[in-house]
Order: sequence, then structure tokens, then C-alpha cells
Amino acid sequence: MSRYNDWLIRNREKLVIATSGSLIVAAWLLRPLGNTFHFWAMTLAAIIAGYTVAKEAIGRLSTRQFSISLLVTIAAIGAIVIGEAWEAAAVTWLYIFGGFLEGLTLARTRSALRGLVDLMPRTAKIKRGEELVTVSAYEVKAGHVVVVLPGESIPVDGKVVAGRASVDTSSLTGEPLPAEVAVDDTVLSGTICQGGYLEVVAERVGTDTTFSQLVYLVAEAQEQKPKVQRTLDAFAQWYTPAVIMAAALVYLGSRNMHLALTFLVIGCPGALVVAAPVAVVAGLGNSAKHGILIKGGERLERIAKADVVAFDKTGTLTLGQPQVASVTGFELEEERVLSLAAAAELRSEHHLATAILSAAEKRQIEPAPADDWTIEAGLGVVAHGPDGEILVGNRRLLLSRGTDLTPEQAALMVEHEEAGETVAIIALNGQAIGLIGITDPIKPDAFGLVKALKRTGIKTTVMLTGDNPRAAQLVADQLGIDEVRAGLLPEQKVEVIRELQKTGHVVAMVGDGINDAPALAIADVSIAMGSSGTRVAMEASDIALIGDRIGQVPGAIGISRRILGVVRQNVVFAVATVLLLLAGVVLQVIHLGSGMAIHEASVLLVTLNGMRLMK
Amino acid sequence: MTNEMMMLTNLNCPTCAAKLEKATQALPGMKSARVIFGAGSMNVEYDPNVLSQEKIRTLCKQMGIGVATVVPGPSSDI
Repeated sequence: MSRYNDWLIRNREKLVIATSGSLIVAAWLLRPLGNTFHFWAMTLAAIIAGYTVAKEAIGRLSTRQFSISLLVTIAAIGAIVIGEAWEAAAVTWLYIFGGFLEGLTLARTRSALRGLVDLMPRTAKIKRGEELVTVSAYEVKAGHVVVVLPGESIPVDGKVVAGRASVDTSSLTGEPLPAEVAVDDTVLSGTICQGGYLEVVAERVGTDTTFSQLVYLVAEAQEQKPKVQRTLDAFAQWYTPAVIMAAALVYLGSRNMHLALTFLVIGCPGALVVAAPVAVVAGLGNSAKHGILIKGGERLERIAKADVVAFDKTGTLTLGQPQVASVTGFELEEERVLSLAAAAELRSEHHLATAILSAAEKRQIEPAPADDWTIEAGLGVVAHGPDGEILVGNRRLLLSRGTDLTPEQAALMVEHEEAGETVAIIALNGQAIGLIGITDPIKPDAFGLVKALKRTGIKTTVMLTGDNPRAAQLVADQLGIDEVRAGLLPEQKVEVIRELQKTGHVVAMVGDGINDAPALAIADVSIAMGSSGTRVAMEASDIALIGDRIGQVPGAIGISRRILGVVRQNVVFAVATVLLLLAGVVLQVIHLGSGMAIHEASVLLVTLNGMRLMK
Repeated sequence: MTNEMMMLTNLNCPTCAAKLEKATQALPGMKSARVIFGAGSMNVEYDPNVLSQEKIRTLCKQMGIGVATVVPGPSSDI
């Protein structure tokens, strides 16, 4: 019995539409049975459909909202009173059917969030001694070792301590290719272990994981309405009473009740009211699927108005991980130079060590560890190994040891430096033996970025960086960035943005969220590269690029402009339709039934236009 | 305090959402309840000694709204 009740409750809307609709059809088909039957069948259909409409109208009225449902209710009652039951049935039925269609769109946009919630990991296997215990994902504490088997989703954010696996990160990044992870790599919750085996030390658990935060952010983003939408809500507030008044005037002027009622119903701005929400919800839902999280509709207008985009360099346009770009051997082989440099850097915490060591590893060079080493602050590293004294550092390190490059070697060094490399000199037993050039490579998807931005209507691109002017200019030249401001401290980045704003620009700032935090906060639009470390920046930003893909910036601005464009089209179309129909009513060429049909068709068109943004 | 995020079904009109929010807020032991219509979800924070998830589900059901999935919710101090 209760199951039957549940079914009734769940499908009430569909039942009402079906029952009322069948009655309308029956009334037409059985017209030959007489006008009395026709009238009562239509009245019944109007009451069944109208009950829902009236309930909504009263509900809204109790919160002091004049809604369209109020207009429809009054018009339907009036139509029955003057004996036009068919028109009452048509008005109410089309209204609830329109509402049902709207609900379908809503369901589609909600399903993106549902999908995310369903991907949230529910259980976790944690290691207790030698035993594996399965617990709820929300009972895992930071520091627990979680075991992930193939096919399972990773329940926590953490660091891999054993095993290796390919991990499907598409839920977070939209990246189709799996990432290969091994010991010391960071893995994020909600990503799926495809093959292999992982032991992960939990760092962020439960509601703090990147994935949980993403779900909450997506939910919150649905709440905020854009200004256009708010204007429309406010519009309905005065529009409904205005139409009621105008209908009263029409009646007083013409003494024609039918005309006044027709005017009343046709005046409902149904299409106008759904114009904004459908487009916004569809557009935001679609971009979220691609890893572009636009936080709420009211920011859309600001995003669409942006004409300057400012970029941080390191970590935003470049990978943020220095890599060896060139190895030069003066007399010895390149491999030997790299091997000696790696030997000196093996245990050092020198800032170039990571790049040199990973280059050595890539070429399968096993450096012979040095016996002792010292870091000379601001100069480099000095190490003593089986081959003697090794120096890795700048020219001043060489000079401090009473040696120097030959003029040819110095010229070669300048050449590499002009190519944007940070050059380390390697010397063995007081003699320079080679050069290693290190760069921070540009992200592959940063090429073409400026062109794509210009296509979306951005006028100027600016680079704001703490790096030196030469390195900054080189990156800017390769990417086609218009302006470079280099050597900036975080607060100086803020100054540059303020300056741009003072000259009337709307500035979007793209950063990786740590040293850029102040600049992101002051910019009109903040775009955060969202990787695991920048959760706070993601929460505060207007747009978060979940997959850390800089190439998505034009897409994010573009979709915002498209959404606003569709909203404007819809508004113009809806207003034009209503005005034309009202003129038709006053001239008595449009009647209630036909007017309502055109009306609902315009609602459907506006809805379909909005749904285009889902693609 | 327990924080939960409930994914709702059959939440068809903003008025129903407002009503549900009001009704759940009135439950004894409920600290805060917020229905996000566009997302079709409800964030609740309640005292588990006074109120239970079951009671919230029952209330939703009485109002014709289903609860599909419940996951731990964002803490209200975000």
C-alpha cells in the first residue's frame, strides 16, 4: 500500500498531465455527444490541471510573490465563468506541461552533480598491521595507509608509499589518458586505479578531500543566479500586477470580459522567466563536465566583460619544474659532464639538483657519489669524489677558486643564456669541463593560448612574474603575450592590476594560487589553476580549472560569453513574442487558445535555445 | 553535530524547495538546513542525539520528496 502511495507521489505530475490531457482529447472526440458533456469534461480537465497551478500561485503569494501561476489561475477561473471551459483547460494544461518540460531540463543539469556524488568513494581498505580492513571512506583518518586495488576509486588525497598503477583521473581533470603513478606521487580522491596496486598514506580525508570539495563547489555554484536572472525575478514581481491592472483597464474600456481575460493570460511572460535559468544551468553544467568550474551565474557578466587577461608565469604558463635543456662538454663527453654534475648534486638541496638528477636518471647515468660536498651560498656546490674536486655553479664560483672560462667558452655560455637557459658551469680539478642549461618548459597547451583569447575578444594579455625580465620576455615572445612585467613581488602584481583597472580595463588574472593569491583577490575575475595544493584559491576564485590546463582559459571566457549571448537572445525573443501577442489580442486576431499555444511554443523555443549550451 | 548533504528527487518547484527548507529547519535538533534547488540537494547540520537521518527522510517523504543518496556534507564554517 505504501509502495503504491510512493508511486503516486512520485508520478503525480505525470499523472495530472496525462489525466487532464486525456480529458481534453476525449472532450474533443466526443463532441457529437453534446455541448454539455464537452463543457464538463473540459471543466474537469481544467480543475485537475489548475489545482496544481493554483496551489503554486497561492504558495508564492503567501511569500508575497506575484507569479505567472497567479495570472494563469485568475484567467482560467474567469474563462470557466464565461463558459469557455476549453480555454481554461488549454491554459492550465499547457502551463503544467511547460513546467514539466522545464523540469526535464533541470533534471539533466542536476544529473551532472548526481554523477559526481555517485563517483564519491564509499568504502576504503585500510592496512592494520598485516590485515586489510574495509571501512567507510569517511572513517579514514590522516596517516592511515589505504590500499587501492584495480577498479577501485581512491578514497583519500594522499601520497603513494608502495606500488605503482595507472590512474584514471578523468573525473577530476577530464584528462582522457590515465596518469602513471608510483612511490612519492600524490593521488587524489575520486580518481580510479585502473591497473596495478597502490598503498597510499592519507593526507586529506572525508569531507576535506579534493573530490568532496569539488562536489560541494558544484552544488553551491547552482545556487547563485546571474544578475540578468535576478532582474527577471524582480520583473515578474511588478509585471504580474501590471498585467492584471491592464486587463482590468481593457475590460473597463471595452466591457468585453473575454477580451480582458485573453489579455490577462497572454500577458504571462513565461518565456522571459525561463530565458536566463535554462541557459545558465545548461552552460555551467556543460563546462563543469570539462573541468571548468564557473562559480555561479552572477560572475558570468564580469567574466564576459573582461578585456585584459594577466598571467602568472611559473606554474601557470610554464610547468614550474625546471628541466635540463642542454648539456655541453668542452672536451669530455656530454654524458660524463652530466655524470660528474649529478655526483656533486646527489645529496645537495641545491635548487638545480632535481633537474640535473632527473636528466641523469633519464639517460640512465649512475653517478658515483661524492665523499663530501658543501653548498657555497649564491655560488653553487663543491664536492670531492673519486675523480677529484667537482664544481657546479656560476661564474663567480669559478672565480672564487681562481679559475675562469676561456673567451670561447664564455661566449657559448652567453649564447645559452640568451636562449633563456639558466646555465651552470661544471669544473673538474680547477678546469671548466662543460655547461648545463636549465629551463622551465612552457606547458604544451599554452601555445595558441593568446590567439584563442583574442578570438574570444580579449584585447590585451599581460604577464606578471617574479622571474627576471629576460627569461620572462623569452616566454612572452614564444607565446605572443603583449606586455611583460617582470621581477614583481606579490604586492607589486596587485599594483599592476590596480593600474589596469584605473584605466578602465576589466582584468582577469590567471594564477596557480599561492604567490598569486593577492593578485587573484584584487582582479575582477580570478581564474585558479586547480591542482591539489591550491584548494583555497579554488574556493575563492571565480573560475577553477580543475585539470590544471591553461589551454582552457579561452574556453572558460568563451562559454561565459556564449551563455550571456543566449540569455540576451532569449530575453529579446520572449519580450517581442509577448508584445506581438498582446497587440494581436487588442486587435482581436489572437484568441486565448491560440495565444497560449504560441506562448508555450515560445517557452519551448527559449528552453531549446538554452539547451544548445549543453553541447 | 552531523553534517550531511542529501540528494533529493522529485524536487520540482522552487516553492516546494522553500517549503521543505522551512519544514526541515523546524525539526527539533536541526541546526541548519539549506535546500539548493538548482542542484536538487539539501545541506543539513543537526544534533545526532536529538535528530536522525531517518526522521529527516520521513519528513521529506511526507512532502512528496525522495532522498536518493546521502553523503557527509560540507561543514557549515566553510
